[in-house]
Amino acid sequence: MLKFFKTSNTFQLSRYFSIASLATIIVAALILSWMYRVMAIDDLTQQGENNHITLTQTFANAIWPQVKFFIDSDKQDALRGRSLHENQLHFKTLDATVNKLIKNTPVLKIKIFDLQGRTVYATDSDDVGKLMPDNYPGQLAVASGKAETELRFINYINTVRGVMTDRYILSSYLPVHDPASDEIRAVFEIYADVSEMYQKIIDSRNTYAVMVITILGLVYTALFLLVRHADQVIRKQANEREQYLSEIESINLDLDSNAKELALAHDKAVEASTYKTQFLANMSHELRTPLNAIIGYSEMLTEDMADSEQTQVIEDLRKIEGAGKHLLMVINEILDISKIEAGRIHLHLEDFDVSETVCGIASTVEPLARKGNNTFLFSCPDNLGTIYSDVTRFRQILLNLLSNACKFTHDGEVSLDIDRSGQDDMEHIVCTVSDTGIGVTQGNLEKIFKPFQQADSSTTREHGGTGLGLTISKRFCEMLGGSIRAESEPGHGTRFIVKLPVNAKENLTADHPRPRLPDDTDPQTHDKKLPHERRTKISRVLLIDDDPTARDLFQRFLEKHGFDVDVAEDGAQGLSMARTNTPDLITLDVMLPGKDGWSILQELKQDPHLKDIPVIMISIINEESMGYALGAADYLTKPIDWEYLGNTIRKWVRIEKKGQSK
Amino acid sequence: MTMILLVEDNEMNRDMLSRRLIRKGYDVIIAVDGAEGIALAKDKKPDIILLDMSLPVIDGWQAAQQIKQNDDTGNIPIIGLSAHAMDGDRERALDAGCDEYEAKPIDFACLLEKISQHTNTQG
Repeated sequence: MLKFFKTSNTFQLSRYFSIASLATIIVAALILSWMYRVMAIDDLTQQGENNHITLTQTFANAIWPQVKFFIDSDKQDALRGRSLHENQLHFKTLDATVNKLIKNTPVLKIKIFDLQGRTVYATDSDDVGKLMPDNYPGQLAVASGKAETELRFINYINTVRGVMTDRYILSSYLPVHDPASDEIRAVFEIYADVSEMYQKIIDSRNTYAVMVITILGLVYTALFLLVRHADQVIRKQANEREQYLSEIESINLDLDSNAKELALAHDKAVEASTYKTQFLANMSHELRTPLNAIIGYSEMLTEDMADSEQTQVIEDLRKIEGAGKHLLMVINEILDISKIEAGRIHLHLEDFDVSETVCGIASTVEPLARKGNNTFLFSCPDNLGTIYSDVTRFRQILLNLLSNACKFTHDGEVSLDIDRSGQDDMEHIVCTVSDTGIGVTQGNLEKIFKPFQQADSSTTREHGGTGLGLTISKRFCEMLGGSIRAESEPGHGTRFIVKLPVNAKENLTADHPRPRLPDDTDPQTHDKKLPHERRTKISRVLLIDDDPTARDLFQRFLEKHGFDVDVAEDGAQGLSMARTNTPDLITLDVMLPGKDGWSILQELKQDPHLKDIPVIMISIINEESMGYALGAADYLTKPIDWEYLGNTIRKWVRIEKKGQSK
Repeated sequence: MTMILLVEDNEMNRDMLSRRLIRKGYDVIIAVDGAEGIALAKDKKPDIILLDMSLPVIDGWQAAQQIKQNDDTGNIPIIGLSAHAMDGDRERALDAGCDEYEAKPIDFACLLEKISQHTNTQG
């Protein structure tokens, strides 16, 4: 429809143009040639008249005496005149004079009228005595006293040169004055043959018309070509636009279908993600049920055997229990990654000393490295200063990489190098973890950061693990605004380079949805009916210490600083209070009756509901690295530096609660 | 003697847990699904109920609700047991009416602690 409309439009343009311009050219040519003719004939008439006036003047002077005779004589005499001898003499003289005068001129015939309109003389003697009819141009000349000229086509005329046919004749009527009185006494009529001149005018007019038509034709052709070209350009553009439009239309259709496909793919992905989460939840459930039996029975049997001194059996039972607990850890790790992917891991950003933290990590890793008969090399300058980041995640990243390095290296070297580089906003801490282990092929290097992918599926059989450690590390690096990359040469070892900004912001990318803040986690699950004080804005601290004096001091200090304080005298009570009250922070003494602080810490970290609560270990002995290795958020030694303790606690308590507690 | 109603459908876990509890001096009665659990709670009026959440016939959440809504059994403390350890599972159990929640694998010492807390007795 559109196409048809456009095309016919452009065709009409050139058609209208050609018809209109052709008509214009023809009309213009006709008008011009007509005007030319009129002007030429005017010229001819004027020129002929002037000639005739001159001629008449000459005639008048030459023949006036004879003419005067006829005019003065009686009308009847004149009519009869020719027959009279005297008259005949006059006529003969006149004829001779006139013939002499008109020789070599185009004049064909002369008539002379008196003022009454009577022909007193004529070269054709038959005309003498005839009266000129009324409204004859000669009468006009008499009345006006001026010459009157007209061009006529005459079929038959009797002239001084004999009879002529089909001639263009210019005839002038000229008043003749009496030289004595200067009165008009007669009218001359002079006939001149202008056929040749007329023919010339017609010929030149035709030439002129042809020229005009040719020129206009050329102009027309040029214009026509121009218009046709314009037409073609317009049509081409229209076609192009049409093509363009149809392309756009088809692109739009494509886009539409792509968008639909994308939406479909997105729906499928969301569905798949939901299934995955559901699957993980189910798997966790299905694994925990038999684990419950395994751990439970082995504990039960251990209790049974404790009395019967069968130490070998007890050892084996402890191995079963240990394996069960390891399996539990693996499950928790899997849940961890699914939490990261669901954006439910939160960052706790704060200033911490890099060298101090890294030294702690190094001392934890050393025994691990020794297990595989590896040498652990560690270089960290003392002056790295503090960075603003999440110390727990930082530690977790390095521990993951280092324990991986130890796992895949035997009788070799594992090394950790820390450095600070760049300036201002680009300032980074660069941690390099290298080993001389089995290495990874180039192709597998791309896969190792993906969940559930170890370089080689046989790796899982040989080295164990979930294949999630690197994925978790990578996600943490990204959350902290940094990056991680791996270099490796199979057989020669692997190097991991972690680059973290010294000033971390919560790094939120589309891949990893915004981690929700603790208090706006999941309204459906957390906002309903919580039996505890989770929703109150006062931070709750659980303090586990067996020494009543220390406990009292702690409690007073914390309450003074605006915290709600729960107090537990031993580990078991501490654990149960942690479960019931869900505190925001736990301070845990290492030396406790029954279960010691380390086992409590381990249990806290193994409980999926409690493991995110930061735990500050407090002890008289410095075993900081042990504390960090087991997941403590901070480690303080007695006697307590109260100011430092206050800062540490505030640091760990959630941001929005900190404001309230002051 | 403190009477514990253990509602658990998994045979191995039921056996293990009941035997360990009996060894600790508790009187243990057993139900294998939610409906039987509700009926036994009404019938025997135990001092405390250990309720698994994933149960046949009537699930643990519904069972907890019904037990708490009944005047005869409403004051019996319930400890929810579940191998569900995802976010919100604890809250779901507490919302249904459980007084306590314990994720599987069960930390037996901790469970004993909770039982004694809610019954004010040692078995």
